[in-house]
Parts: sequence; C-alpha cells; structure tokens
Amino acid sequence: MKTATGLQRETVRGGLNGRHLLNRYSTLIALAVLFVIANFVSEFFVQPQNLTNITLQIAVNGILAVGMTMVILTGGIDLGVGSVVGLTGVILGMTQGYGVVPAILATLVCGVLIGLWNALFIARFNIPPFIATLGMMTIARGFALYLSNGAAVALDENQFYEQLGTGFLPINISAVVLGLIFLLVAFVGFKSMRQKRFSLDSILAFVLSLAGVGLFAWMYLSYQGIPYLILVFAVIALWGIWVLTQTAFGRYLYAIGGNAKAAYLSGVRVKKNLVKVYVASAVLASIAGIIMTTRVGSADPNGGNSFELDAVAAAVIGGTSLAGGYGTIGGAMIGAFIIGILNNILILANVNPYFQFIFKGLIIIAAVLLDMKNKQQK
Amino acid sequence: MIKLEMKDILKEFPGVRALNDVTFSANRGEVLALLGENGAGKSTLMKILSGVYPYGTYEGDILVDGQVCRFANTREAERAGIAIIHQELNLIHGLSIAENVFLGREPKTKWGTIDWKRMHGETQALLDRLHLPFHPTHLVSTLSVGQQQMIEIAKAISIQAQILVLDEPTSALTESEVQRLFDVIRELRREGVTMIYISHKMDEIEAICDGITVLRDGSSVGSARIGDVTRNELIAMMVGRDISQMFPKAESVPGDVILSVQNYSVKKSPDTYLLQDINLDVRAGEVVGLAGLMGAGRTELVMSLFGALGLKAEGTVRISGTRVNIQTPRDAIQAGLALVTEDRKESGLVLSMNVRENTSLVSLQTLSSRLGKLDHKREHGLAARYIEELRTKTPSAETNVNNLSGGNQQKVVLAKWLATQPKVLILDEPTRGIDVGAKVEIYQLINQLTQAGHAVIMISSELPEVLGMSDRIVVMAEGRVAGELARADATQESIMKLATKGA
Ligand SMILES: Nc1ncnc2c1ncn2[C@@H]1O[C@H](COP(=O)(O)OP(=O)(O)OP(=O)(O)O)[C@@H](O)[C@H]1O
Ligand SMILES: [Mg+2]
Repeated sequence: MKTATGLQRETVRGGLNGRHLLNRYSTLIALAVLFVIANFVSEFFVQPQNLTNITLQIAVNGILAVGMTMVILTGGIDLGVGSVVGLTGVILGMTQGYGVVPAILATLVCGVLIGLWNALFIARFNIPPFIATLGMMTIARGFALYLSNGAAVALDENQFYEQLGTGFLPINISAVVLGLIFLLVAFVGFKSMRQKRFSLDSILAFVLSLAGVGLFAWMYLSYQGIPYLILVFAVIALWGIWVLTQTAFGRYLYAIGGNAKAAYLSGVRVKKNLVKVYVASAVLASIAGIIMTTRVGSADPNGGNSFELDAVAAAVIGGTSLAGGYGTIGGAMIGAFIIGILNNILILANVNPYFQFIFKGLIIIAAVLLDMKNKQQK
Repeated sequence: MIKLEMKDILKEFPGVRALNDVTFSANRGEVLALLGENGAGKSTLMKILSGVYPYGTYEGDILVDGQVCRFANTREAERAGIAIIHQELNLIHGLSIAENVFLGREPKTKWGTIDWKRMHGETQALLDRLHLPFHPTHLVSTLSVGQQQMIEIAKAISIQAQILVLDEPTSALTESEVQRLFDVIRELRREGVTMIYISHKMDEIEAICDGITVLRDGSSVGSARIGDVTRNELIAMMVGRDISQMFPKAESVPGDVILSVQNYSVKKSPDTYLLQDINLDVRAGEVVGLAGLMGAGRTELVMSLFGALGLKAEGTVRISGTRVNIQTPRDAIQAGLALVTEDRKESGLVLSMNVRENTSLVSLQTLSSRLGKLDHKREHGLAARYIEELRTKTPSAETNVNNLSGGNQQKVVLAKWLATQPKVLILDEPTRGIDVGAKVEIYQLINQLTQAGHAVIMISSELPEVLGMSDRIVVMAEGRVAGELARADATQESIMKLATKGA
C-alpha cells in the first residue's frame, strides 16, 4: 500500500495537463475570448469609459448572483430576487423623507422579512424552493405596484444617493486603494503559492489574479476612479467568497446541497442554515434595489424584472450545479461578466436589442453543456 | 472450457493507476472469486468488463468465448451476455420493483406501450424464485437496504446473462437471504453461467466459489483452486503480509455506566410499537454487540437514540449519569454520541465533497474561531492524520470521496466520527465491504477507543465479528431485547436461538 503523501505528490505533478487546465479555467477562457471578440466588434470597447460602464451595469446582477449562488449550492433557487429589487427600490423611495439611514434600514428590514418568509415555507413547511420563491416573485411585485400605485417614485436630490449611484472615489484615493489591493492579492497569492509548493496551477492562479487586478486598476484609473457602487459590489463579492471558502457556514451549504441527509446526521442544522441563506439572498436583493434606484435616480415598481434569471444564468455559467453541492462565487462573478460583456458587444454591434435575449439563452445552454461534459470526463 | 478472459488490463484515473497489468480467465459454469484489499481494483476491473468504462478508456483485451469484445457501453456488454450487480445500490427509489427490474428493457405490447401484465408477471416469478414476499408494484423506497440488494440480484438474473458479476452482493443481506442467493448461484452454475464473485467474507468464498484470483495494488498476483490453498495463505496473498489474529480483542475492564437506556419505547402508530421497553446499559471501555435478525429493530434503536428517527420516544436516556433529551443528531453529538450509519452512500458521505471535507464535517465548529472562520491548517491536519491512522487509500485528502473504493469510503465515514472523540461510538455494520486487513485495523481502533475509556455499541450481521469483538451481546427480536449474553457464554447458536425467539 502506498502512503498517502507519496501518492499525493504524484497527483500534484501528474494531474496537470492541458485538458485539466482547460476544464478548470474554461469559464475564464470563455471570458477572455469574448474580450478579444469585443475588440474586433468595436474599438470603443476597450475604452476605459466603456469598460467602467460595463462594470457598473454588471454590479446589480453580480450582487444578486452572490446570493443566488449560495442558494443554489443548497439545491434550492430564489426566483423572487428580481421583484425584491423592484419592491425595495419603491420602499427606499417612499421612506426617503425620514432621512438616509432610516430609509436604508427600512429597505434592508424589508429584505430580511422577505427572506424569513421564504425560509418559513421552504424550511418549515417543506415547500419546494422553486414554488415558494415563484410565489414571492408575484407577491413582491404586487406590493411594489400597490405601494407606488404603479408609478415610478423619484428620489429627491440627495448628496449621498447621488454619490452612491453615480459618484467616483477621487482618483488619487482610488490609486491608493487599488495599489493596496494589488499588494494584498500579491501577498495572499504568494503565500498560497508557497503552500502549494509552486505548482504550475498555483503560479497560474497567482499571475491571473494579479493580471485581473491590474486590468481593473488601469481601467478605473484611466477614467474617473473607482465608482462607489463598485466598492459596494466588491465588498459583497469578497464577503461571499469569504463565507464559502473560510467559514463553517459556507461548508454547510455545500454539504446540504450534496447530501442533506448525511449533513443532518452529521449535526448540521439544515433548517437554520437554509433560513440564513434565503435571508442573505433577499437582503442582497434589497441592496441591489438600493443601488439600482440611486443609479437611475428613481424607483420603478417594474424594475428588476427577470433579474432572477440573469442571476441564475451567471451562477450556472460560472459552474454552479443546479442540483446543488458544486459552485463558487468566483465562477458566478465571471459568469456575470460574461453576460455583461456579451450585452455590451451586442449593443456596440448595433444588434437588435431583442436578439440579446436569444443570445443569452443560447449562451446559458452552451455553458451548462460544456460544464456537464467536463464533469463527465472526471 | 474457457468462457472469459481478460488480458493485460491497464486502467488509469487522473493521478492513480487503478489497474496495472491484470490477467485472468474463468471457465464456463465456474464461480470465480475475485479477491483483494480495498482499492485493489476489483470493482474497476469489473466495470471494464461490463462496459461502464468503455473500450478506449483502458488498455488490454476482453475475450468472451475467444472473441475480442469492445464494449462502447453497458448495453453492448449486456447484449454480449454480461450482467453486473454493482457494489453500490443503483435502484430508483420512486419506481416500483417491476419498473426497476425492467428499467430500459420494458416489455412492449403490440401498440408500443408497456406490457404491464407481462412485466408484473415476470417480476413476480423472479421474486418467487428468490422467496421475496413483495408485490411487483411495491415502491423500492419502502424496502430495506438488504431487500433492495435482493432486487438488484433479481434484476441481474432477469437479464439471463452468460457471465454474471456479483460485486459484494451479500454486504447488506441477512444470513437466510445469503443462503437463498447461494441457492440461486448454484442453480445458475448448473445452467452453465459463469460468475465472478467479489467478497471480503472468506466463509462465503469457501462455500460458493470454485476458483480464486487475487489482485493486489492493481495487479493479478495469483490464481488457485478452492481447497488448494489455506485461508491464511489467501489472506497473505491479498495483503502481502501475515495476519495472525482475526479478532485481536483486547481485554478491557468495564468502568462506569456511560449510556443508560431505560424503559425505552418508540411507537410507529398509536397502537404498534417499533421498539418496546428497551433497557440497555453500556459501560466505559466496553463493546456491546447488538445482534438480531434484519428487521429486529437494531438500526431503529440506534437511530432513535441518535435523534434521527423522527418518532417520539418514551423512557429515559442517561449519559454519564445525567438525563439527556436528544431530539436531533446535533443534540446527540453534543451529548457525546457518534453514529456510523449502515448506508454510507445514502447517509454517511457527502459524495460531492472530498476526503478532507467529509472528515471534518462534524468537527467544523471546533475547527473554527468564534467568528466562524475555519482553521484550514488544523482541518488539513485532521484529515491527514486520519488518512494515515486508518490507512485510507486515497490519492490525496483533496480527492473526491466518490472516486474512492467502497472500503475506503467507509474509512472516511469512520474518520469523520472518530474525529469528534465521542463518549459512545455507535457502529451500524462498520466493516461492511471492508477487506480483511482493514477489518483488523478497525478492530484495533475499537480496542484503542475502549482502552481510552470510550464505549462502543456495534451492530453487525456477521456473527463471528459480534462474537469476536463484543464484551457483551444484546440480542434483539421484534423491537425488544430478547436477551443478553456474556462474552463467555455466547455462541452462534445461543445468539440465533434468542434472535428467533417468538418469531
Ligand atoms: N472514478 C475514479 N476516479 C479516480 N480514481 C478512482 C476512480 N474509481 C476508482 N478509483 C481508484 O482506483 C482504485 C481501485 O478502486 P476499486 O473501486 O476498483 O477498488 P476495489 O478493489 O473494488 O475496492 P473495495 O474492496 O474497497 O471495493 C482505488 O485506488 C480508487 O481510489
Ligand atoms: Mg469495490
């Protein structure tokens, strides 16, 4: 019998071949290919201004995708988030008179309540998540329309909302922040590279993440700095990654999605964790609602329509399995970027906007097909 | 007359060479035993034979009746007369027995619809042949693991194969079910069917097989006729070393009562009892064997004690003298219980996670800071420690448990519970599917635990194991305690007498 460590070294060295890398980085490669194609479609694409705009457009979907990935990991789904974006926008608009902090608190509390309601039916009464949140989708939309009488609610002039929605962190502070992030990524990356004994895999991950940060730095610094909204998005995405990779709660989500019975028998409080994850998803949706409202300057009760599908698409393109158990936030973020860049390309290429839907649908199907093929090979 | 030959078979998975030059042959009407440690490559070899791993994913040749066969899938292998009963159950729970038996080959009427009458009739005939008291329309989900295994066997028989592979078919069967299976095997042998029989149970091999082929670390290391080799020689061939003592029971001095169960009853419905008036004391440093026929309520008892049965229990349970009220597995874990369930795939492992993640699953809370941050270093350490201690054969701690051999998966489940340092470790069929060498290792682990003052409750359908490892044997029948035997007084006969009492 070979010892475990002896075999381990063998895998690290032997397990790295072209196909392995292709599988592992397939979504990232897809993103890169899209990036190159975009350059051919229009030279305007690589302009820092356009790139910054793309990230702004992606932010809302990206935030929703963080929550959606967590929910899907448990084997569930949250179809209500699009309507929650609309409803919470309206609530922000209607409570704005009480001041910024109370209005935002009211919006977040609304998110918590919606999450608890979903969880009540899913965890307590065992209603399939698809049905429970499909119900929430219409309920929340109904409330949004009822509260606003079907009309958009404009935000009054307010320094905070304007900055949050459309402002930029001053360029010199942005430079410092991005520099620090670069150093942090380099430091963390180097540590993990050393831990993995400088395997090709870890070196590649190191280079790619530094290149990613570099790209962002270039794009924001050559335009107007980091948008505040992107800061919120980045914090949320990092929080999501932290939860899934660094906490017991995150691990429980994978376990529940992989085998709920085994997780329960291992002492995992399945119901409690489901409550947490549906609340997280709804609260993230209300943050997305706030952000979208401040960006546009008014709350549309019909806003956020079909956003849930974009969030599911981002998660799935990023490798999350709808059956639960597999998936990462990083993947979902790449998925959100793929969708965002694709939209941008279609706009730049003057493609009929209705075609966007068709393209997006095809991309989702292709992504899942690719993912399934990869998994079969393993 | 040689029916089947497999020549120079080589199979690699990413990072592991599972088979490395295996050659063997089997005659028509022969039952050939395929022996080897956990992870030796037995299941992999049989998956190649039955088309699960298609032609092109391995090297070497399969010859049936002297003809080279290249199966692209299991369908083609079936058509060539090869059927397999896999080590892990593969039934669809939401379908009936008949639907499972004929899945993918349903008999059709002339209208092209399913011929239910024929399907049910043929299934009934199969069930009768195996003496199974079920109706073809029963849902598979209502059957126990052992009963499901019998349905798998019925399914394989219905294909009327020339070559039948049985990969650890008896691991979930009762004694009488095993006998029925053996009757069927003998019958098939008379009909000229060639069978390949994989098992870690030497008694069975000696009882039913004609020849033996041994695999070690992915290579065939020898073949023999039954009767030409002694059991010890066989074991030495498998594990590459001598095993002097099958049951290395350490003498232990029982200490205080750790787990005390009094007047414990669980009702299935307002007037039928699942468990009735159970009294059971388990002392520190003691192994209590729970014996009984399948359906005697042993699994139900431990599941209920562990808070996992979902039915209300009456009576009192004390742990180290304090009364506990266990409602959920989490309560049980906090009270110091650990339960290795009988079905690792269904309730033991999270198959989508790797060895490390499965090992640490119950201990995550102790492995994280108050803020909930996981201590990855300690987690890696924990996993590495148990891989070494249990000698789990895995490429690394990061390997998906789905890719481990059955026996090594069981070791991962054991590791998960040992990592919690439980006061009382409950083992439900702990050595199911585990090879001889690893069994001894697990027994030694049980010894270590009892010597450190832990208590162990062991459910096992293998009487030699119960007899060999228990200090005390509690025999259950029909949801009650039928009697208790001290180690010195217990024999297979005395246990069976109690187990069948009143039945
Ligand atoms: N799909 C797979 N991917 C990677 N490795 C695998 C896969 N399947 C099996 N292996 C490895 O191949 C080796 C042989 O496994 P196999 O299941 O054939 O063992 P076995 O002899 O049937 O053992 P057991 O008695 O425990 O059932 C093991 O080391 C196992 O980890
Ligand atoms: Mg096997």
